Amino acid sequence: MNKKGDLTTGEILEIVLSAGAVLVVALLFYRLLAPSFDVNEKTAESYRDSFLAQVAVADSGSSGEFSIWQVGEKDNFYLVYFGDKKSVAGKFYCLDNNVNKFCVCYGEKNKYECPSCEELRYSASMDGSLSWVLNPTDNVEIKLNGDVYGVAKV
Amino acid sequence: MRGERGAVDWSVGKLLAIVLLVILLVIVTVGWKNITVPLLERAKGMFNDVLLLFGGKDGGDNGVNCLDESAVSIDGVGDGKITYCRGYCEIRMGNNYFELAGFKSSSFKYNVESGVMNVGGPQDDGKWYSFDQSFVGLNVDEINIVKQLYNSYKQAYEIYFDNHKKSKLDISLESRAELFIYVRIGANLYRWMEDLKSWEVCDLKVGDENVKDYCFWTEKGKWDVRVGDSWQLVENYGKGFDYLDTLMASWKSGSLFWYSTDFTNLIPEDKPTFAFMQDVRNKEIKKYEDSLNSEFKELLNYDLQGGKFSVDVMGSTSINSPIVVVNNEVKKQNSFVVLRMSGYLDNIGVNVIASGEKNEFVYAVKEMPDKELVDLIKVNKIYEFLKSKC
Repeated sequence: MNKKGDLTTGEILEIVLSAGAVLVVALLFYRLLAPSFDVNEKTAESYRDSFLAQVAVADSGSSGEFSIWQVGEKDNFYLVYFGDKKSVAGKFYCLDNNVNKFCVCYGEKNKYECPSCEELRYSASMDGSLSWVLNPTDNVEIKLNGDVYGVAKV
Repeated sequence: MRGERGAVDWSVGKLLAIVLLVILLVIVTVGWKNITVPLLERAKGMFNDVLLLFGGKDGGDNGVNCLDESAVSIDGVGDGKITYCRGYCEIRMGNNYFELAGFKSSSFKYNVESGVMNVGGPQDDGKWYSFDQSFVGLNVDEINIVKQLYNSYKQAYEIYFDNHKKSKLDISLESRAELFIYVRIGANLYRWMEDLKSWEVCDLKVGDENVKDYCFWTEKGKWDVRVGDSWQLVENYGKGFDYLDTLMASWKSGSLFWYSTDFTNLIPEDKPTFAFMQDVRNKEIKKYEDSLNSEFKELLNYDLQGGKFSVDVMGSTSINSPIVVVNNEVKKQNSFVVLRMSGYLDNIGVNVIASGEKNEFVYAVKEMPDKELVDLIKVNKIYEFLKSKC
């Protein structure tokens, strides 16, 4: 700053950059601290972890059991095994590199989101099908048969 | 207010100390775990999002409409490029063109919801054409079986025709398949025409619906009436053989009644009844059926190789003409092939019944050059690939 109180170009640039930086930091902190809890997303993650835990039981030689017990008023949850497909039943999509992948999807009337996915070590077959959907309240048994998880409704 | 009494001499150090003190107070009040764990989870989630953005971690559906085009290699077909999209997948096979039903195509688009594949696309003339679903229903084995059956049928027919072409007896399949019954009632002469071998598919109206079905299911024959030296169709073709019952109601005892399957050799009948005439018709149909059952069947059996098929002839009924059934012994539980008899080699029809569903093999196999059959098998592989990956 010169004595007349005028700003030089460099100083203006510094102020603008500083203000920008402060704004970005503030936004990041706000994003980190602001409450944005998504119930559906958390529920999907929870079902995903629960299914993985039962797959681990199957890995140990026992049989795991899994069901989505919750029938929502609006959004229902589905366990969708994509195998290596990009879609199942013409309404569940996971446009990704899918190999032995399952997702927990939720939604209604052909508008479904599949945010919570994981790849299995082996492929999972239900009634001979290598891509399938587990509807709410369906109960399944998971067994490891050789190098394929056999998933059967019980 | 530098130097004034009561004023705080602010410095960066002091500000930092206050901020840290506030953080410490919050931590003490709320608890270390209650603050750090959710914050760390949020940070972890955000980090994952960033990784997903750069493709560094496998995640759920990314919400995009289409993935970038990627290379693909289909076993037995070749290399191409595939685009996965929400609702459809598209494969471009570059300069690898496949010939189908008269046009060439190198692009294939599969609709996820309907399971229908279109061929053509921007690489070709810019239009998409629906891939014939009857081809899709056939697997590669069945396509080969159908081709083999057609050739067998053709050979058997040629031998059969050759054996009987010089015979004075009119026993060719062709003649048997075209049934004519002439009836003279009083001064009027009528002709019943029936094509026992018809297998063509017609556009029919059933109730309010437009459906495709075999013509003979509803149009079993036609009645003509003699006018001068020519034949004229009776209104609405007489609506079936039962029309004769109506005609015969006008017959009175003592008046003339002649009938025959040969126009030049009419036979008088003293006590004509509709049941008698039905019997005449059934006997003629039976002759055609018998000719299929014996020699032709043997010829066809002889030609089919390896005992993989068994041939049978399903008898005619009042609504159906005789058909040759070739059971596929390899997969008899879920598939068999039907060859429908037709006198002209040009009109041999092949229907395939698989998994209980009847598929009309619309595009006559005989017209399919070997190159096209090879392409059809490849396109089926592309279809199966898209179906399994999309």
